[in-house]
Formats: sequence, structure tokens, C-alpha cells
Amino acid sequence: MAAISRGILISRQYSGLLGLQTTRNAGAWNKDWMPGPYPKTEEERLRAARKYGLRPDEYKPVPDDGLGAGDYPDVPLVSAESRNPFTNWDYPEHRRNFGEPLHQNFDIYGLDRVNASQQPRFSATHQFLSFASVMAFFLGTYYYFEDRKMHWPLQPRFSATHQFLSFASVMAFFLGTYYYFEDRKMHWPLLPKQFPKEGVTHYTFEKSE
Amino acid sequence: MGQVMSEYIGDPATRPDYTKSATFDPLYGFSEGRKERVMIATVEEMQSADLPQDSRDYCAHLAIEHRACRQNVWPLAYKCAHEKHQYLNCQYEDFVLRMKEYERERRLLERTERKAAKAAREELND
Repeated sequence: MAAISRGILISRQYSGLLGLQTTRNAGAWNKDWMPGPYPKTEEERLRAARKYGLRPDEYKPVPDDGLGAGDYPDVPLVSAESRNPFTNWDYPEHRRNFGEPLHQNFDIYGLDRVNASQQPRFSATHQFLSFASVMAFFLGTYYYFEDRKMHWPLQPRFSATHQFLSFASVMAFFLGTYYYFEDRKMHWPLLPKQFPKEGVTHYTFEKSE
Repeated sequence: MGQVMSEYIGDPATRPDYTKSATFDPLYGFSEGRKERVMIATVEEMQSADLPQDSRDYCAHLAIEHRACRQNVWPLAYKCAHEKHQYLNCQYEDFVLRMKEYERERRLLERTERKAAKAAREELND
């Protein structure tokens, strides 16, 4: 038990560096990490740029639409999966370099999560049309050949009507007998078994004393 | 075959419904009364013995004894022959009782029909 808690404490120190999340540090939030208000003066802009490690000419805060991003920089959304896997990233499991500003919701754009910036090889419309055309081909050929089947050069021994009537009469016989005898079952000449029940008296055939 | 003859080929009006218990008053026609059936095993005993619902009839006390005997002597189950026969004899008498009830029901139904036929005849004569 002690070893487990020690292990957790140690891994917590390392979780930021190695990207291993043995424990989540949600409880270690610091108020200083909260973004400040939207910068209005030039001085505020410079201070905000310095805070986020960006040059003043490349710092652009998220546009103020009243939804509270504050002075957080407008980082272009490139998911980890869309980034070049062969460059020498400082943090390969995030595909990110040291000091690179994080997107606001960067935690959902990791390698194992949403790839919002992917360029699919085929568009969604293309994919759907491929599927639909294959299905149309299969169904089309099936129904097209329903009346054009291969067969021996023979008349059927029994006509279709004859076959159907045979089937129907056999089924009628089975079902008819089954339902006819539902009320006419054989049984022993007994009344139902008497179980002791509250408020019900059962009698034998002997005289009462 | 006799059952089939009387019930389905003969007159269905005098046929008792074998899925339902007796419809006539149980004491009707018994001038000296009828002895009541006594339940010997209590509900607590049956519950304690985990007796299945089907076995909780008027022979339940013998069922419990038989099961207890088997549990004691298992796997030499032949030693419980006395308890087993006691239980099975009780079940046999219950079976005979059910047959008698059926027969009573049938005869009362036939009597009802005869009385109805007589009443109809007398109405015609009037």
C-alpha cells in the first residue's frame, strides 16, 4: 500500500514531462494559469504575448465573442495525428516541440483521439456513393435474374399450382389436427390436485366423526 | 379408450371439466358429513425443508420425512424404502380421491341432466 502511494506521488512529478498519465492532476489547478481578460491596450497585448511565450507579431488572441477565451492565443487547430510522424519532435507522443503553444482543447486532439484536421483520401460523399453503387449492383443483379434463372430443359413434374396445393393441404392437415384436438385432449378421469390453501377446506370420502 | 368414448364421442354435457375443481357443493348428498383433510406439515416446516411447490400438498409431511431419510443415509438410498412407500401410498390415496371426485362430479352432472329432462317432459305434459 505504501509502495503504491509512493509510486503515485513519483509518477505525478513525471506526468508532465514524459506524457505518462498514471494519475490525473485535475486537483492541482493554479489560479495563475487562468487566462487573463481580452487585451485591449498595446501594453496588455505585449504582456500577454510574453506570458504565452510568443513574439508580439505572432501573438493573436482568440477573437472576443463574449465566450470567455480571454487573452489565450488563437492557435491553429492541427491534431497530433495530422502532424508529420517523421520529424524529430521534442515530445513525440504529442508531436509537439518545447514551447509550442497548445490549442485550447488540445487534450481531445491527441494521437489517440479526434483527428479534426485530417484530409480524408475520399470525401464523405465519395464514400457513400461507392457503397451505394456496390449495393445497387448486387441488388440489381439479384432482382434482374430472378425471372431469368438457369434451368434444365424440362417441364416441371408438378405444376407450380400443384406444388403449392400440396404444401397448403399438408400444412392445413397438421395445423387443423393440432387445433382441433386442443380442446379434446386425452386425460385421466381426475379432477385437479388439491393443494392446501387459506380459507379452503377439502374433504375425503369418509364419514365425519 | 373408454374415456374418449364417453367424453368426446358420447355426451359432452355430462363431462366434468378436468381442469377445474368440483362445481357442486362438497357436502351435498352426504347425510353423515365428510371428514376434512388435515394438513400435517406447517408452512414453516415446508419452507425450512425447501420443499418444491408441487410437493406442498396433503402428503408434504411424508415428503419431508422421506427427503430427510435420504439425506441421512445417502448414497444407500435403499434404506429409505419404508418412508418412500409411506409417501407413495399417501400419493396413491390422493390419486384415488381425485378419481372419486371426478366420478362424483360426473354423476351429479348426469343427475342434473336427468332432472332437467324430467322437468321438460312434465312441462310438455302440462
